[in-house]
Amino acid sequence: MEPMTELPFTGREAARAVPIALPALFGLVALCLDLFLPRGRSKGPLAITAAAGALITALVTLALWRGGGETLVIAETLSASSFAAALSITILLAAGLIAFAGVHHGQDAPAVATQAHGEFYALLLFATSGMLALVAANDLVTMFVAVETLSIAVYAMTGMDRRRARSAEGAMKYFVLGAFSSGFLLYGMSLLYGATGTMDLTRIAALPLADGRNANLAAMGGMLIMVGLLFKVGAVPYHSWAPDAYEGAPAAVTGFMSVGVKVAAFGAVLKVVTSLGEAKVFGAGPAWALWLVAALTMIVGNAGALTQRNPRRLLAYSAVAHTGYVLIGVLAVARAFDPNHPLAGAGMLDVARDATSGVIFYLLGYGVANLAAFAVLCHLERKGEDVDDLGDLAGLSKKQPGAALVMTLAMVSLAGVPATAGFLGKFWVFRAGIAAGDLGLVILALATSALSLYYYLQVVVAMYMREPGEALYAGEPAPAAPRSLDPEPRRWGSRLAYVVGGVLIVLLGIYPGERLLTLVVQGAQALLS
Amino acid sequence: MPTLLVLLAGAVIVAAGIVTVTRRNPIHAALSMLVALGGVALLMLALHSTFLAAMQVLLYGGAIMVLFTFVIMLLTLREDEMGPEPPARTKTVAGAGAFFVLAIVWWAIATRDHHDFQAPALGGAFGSPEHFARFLYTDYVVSFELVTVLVMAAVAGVIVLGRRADRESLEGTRLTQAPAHKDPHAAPAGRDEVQP
Repeated sequence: MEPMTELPFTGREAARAVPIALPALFGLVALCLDLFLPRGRSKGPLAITAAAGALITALVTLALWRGGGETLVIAETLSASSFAAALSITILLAAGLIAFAGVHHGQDAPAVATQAHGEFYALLLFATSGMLALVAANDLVTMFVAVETLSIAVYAMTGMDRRRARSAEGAMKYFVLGAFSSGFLLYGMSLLYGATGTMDLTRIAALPLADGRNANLAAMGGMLIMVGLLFKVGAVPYHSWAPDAYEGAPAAVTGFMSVGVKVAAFGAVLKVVTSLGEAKVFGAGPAWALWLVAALTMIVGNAGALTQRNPRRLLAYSAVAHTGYVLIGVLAVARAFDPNHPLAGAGMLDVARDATSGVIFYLLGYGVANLAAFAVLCHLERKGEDVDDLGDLAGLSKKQPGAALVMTLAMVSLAGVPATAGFLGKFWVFRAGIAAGDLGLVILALATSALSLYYYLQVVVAMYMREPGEALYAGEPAPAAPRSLDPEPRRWGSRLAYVVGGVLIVLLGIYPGERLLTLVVQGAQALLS
Repeated sequence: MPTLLVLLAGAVIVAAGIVTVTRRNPIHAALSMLVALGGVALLMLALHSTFLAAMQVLLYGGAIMVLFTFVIMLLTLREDEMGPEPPARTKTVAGAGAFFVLAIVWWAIATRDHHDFQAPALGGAFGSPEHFARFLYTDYVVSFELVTVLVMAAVAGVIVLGRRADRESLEGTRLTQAPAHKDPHAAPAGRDEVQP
């Protein structure tokens, strides 16, 4: 008999992977707990389990991933660093809030099939596991498996609403296009492996590829990996799935997908950009492509949102637009590795760090605002039917002032008005963009942000300046059967979610707190050390 | 000799791949895909990955292709259900795009330098189940464990998506007031438009 193979890692290292396992564990607990809940009754206990799981995972993540010491663990497949910890906070916040927001889904619907199922919580937490693995992944295999784990859970959640054909349509489009983009991701990974002979991103970063001629092959692989990841964040031209998937999925799922998937995928994007940048593979060419994608994403996202009447479609295009703003920060990071950049030098590393901090904070601010908006939409769901028209929000301020206020805060924050989380994030990212020499792109971002006020304020106009049952625009016939906007006393979960969201928008905008900012800055330093 | 094998396998894969995407008859496409998957197994053999080659034949050639043919058989698509033939312009653009990608990848591969690449050492155990398992349970243990979460998510997802819209549960207890909506378990939207 052969001797036992020596494990390439210690137990202490393995413990660093616990934050990835925890959500999955709570998902299994939720699945088992569901067996004991009486059929057709509230899924409150499951929501509490899921939210507790997210909270515990957040605490464990902060404890295990934030500290100093060696961050590359388990044969360098994971980078359990502050960078992963900082992004995990937003992901876990999304999981926790959406667990509460989605608990009433279909509560008053005639068909039990529309109601929230126990599987929703399991899928939510399995996806969270995949997302945490993605932000911590340090090699291509782990990255791919993480992407697939979160994607498959989210595809299924998108099609969860079996009564509506739209849900199936959205899930189908998301799945087919997602599988297609996974092909790009995998192809890129295999080319990158062919060029470098390793799957380890740290080792790839340390290779002297710029001197050898394999840089072409590695750059090709890196570009294809970026295509696969940009699909997940919904960047133009890979955004076409977003409006249909966002509209088809129930509001709670849309909220989770618009935040969790995006944050996790941006984590991977930053990781790939820095690794290939340090290997001197990503030079001026990829930066130019990224510039074009960022510009197109901002234009198409904002232009598309202008004409939307469905709040979920509107937020889908808004999510695309925000991807464009975040890409300014990613581009600034990529610029730091361009040796021919006019500002090349030691100063560019600081710019890249600043840009990374900005991206991390931006994603948190965007996430909080989006989660608050979707929590309000979940709160307004009636008989399993989501709000499908902005006109249905008419007079919300009269019926439910609290929900209307949080929705307003969310819209204002997404537009980037000062004293909200969205403003600080935009300011941070745009400042880094200017420092990296992309003034034109930042001007475009400011112009499109101004444009975005139109569609965000349209929501506010409907809620505050229209009477209940009134048409949204003059000359439009009033809805024959206006939706009921009366407060539902039993909706404690979605109320809790939107209140927390609203408080966080203001808190992050006015005083984010020393400890959070330290975490964000440490995260950037961990990525670009 | 191995080079010849690689070239042969490559030619078979490319030819079968082209047939797969150009056939309109799903069974023909599936069968040519089987040939392509066999070619990939051959390629793995040429690269000394015997275990992977066996898995390729067993899993892809066996299990997954059987699943494919079963799905095709159960759907029994009629000619009019397959949608209209894409216009020639679409085909031209798609072909040009594919050729463009091929050209770039070809260029990237052609300009590569063999001295840059550190090929893994080929030993007696290379490609054996032991070699494979050692990596799976040591270096890539996180991915391996994560796949269990992936499979669980897929199982939970199938249960969610397989649930009938008008029933309380899979046991089939019909509700007294079934919703008046059309039956979406028949499936993805769009099918309704095809059927009269």
